[in-house]
Amino acid sequence: MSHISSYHADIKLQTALEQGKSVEQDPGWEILNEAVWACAEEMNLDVGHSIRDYYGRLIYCDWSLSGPAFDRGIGISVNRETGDVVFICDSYGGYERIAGEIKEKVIQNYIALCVAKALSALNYEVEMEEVKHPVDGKKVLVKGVL
Amino acid sequence: MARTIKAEIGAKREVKIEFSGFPGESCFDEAERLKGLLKELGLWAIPVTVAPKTAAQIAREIGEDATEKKKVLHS
Repeated sequence: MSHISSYHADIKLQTALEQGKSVEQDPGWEILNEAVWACAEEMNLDVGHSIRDYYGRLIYCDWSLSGPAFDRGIGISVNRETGDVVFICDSYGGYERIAGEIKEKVIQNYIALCVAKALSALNYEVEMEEVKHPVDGKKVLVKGVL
Repeated sequence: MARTIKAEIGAKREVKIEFSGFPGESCFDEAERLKGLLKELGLWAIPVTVAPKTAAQIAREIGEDATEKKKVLHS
């Protein structure tokens, strides 16, 4: 028999923490880095380590994404004790849409990279494809054949 | 028939995974293995629905596979 499952995905980097290591040593840390850079390339954004709030105050984070049309930026930080991934942005003043779009893309990239790596680890031959959907936006298709 | 796993990842954290070509209940074991690996990588996949394929869907998959084999023989 074969089946179709649907899931809701959540990101939490706990593998290294459970082994008494730092969160930077988690396999998900490198994947998150890849997901951030892929989003930057796709949306023509800069990757850094700080964002600014409405008053111009600097807030440090593990990664930040900003661009000419979004100079305040959105930050991504991983909680060192729980492994929770948090997106930080002062979206006041009309930045909700762009901040939400960046967040969705980073998460989507992360999920796609994780699925591809997991399938490879199970010895599947993996192909990845992006499909633009007029209503649902971009979809990423990952196919593994054994 | 080759064992295939197709994942469709949407923009709102929704993931649809289709398992094809697995004999018996082995697709559920593979789904558990995949879920475990994803968790190690920091991705927690919370199941929303699990739907076994209908006999018609499985027959269609097998039919498609047979057609593909024919194409190879003719070329």
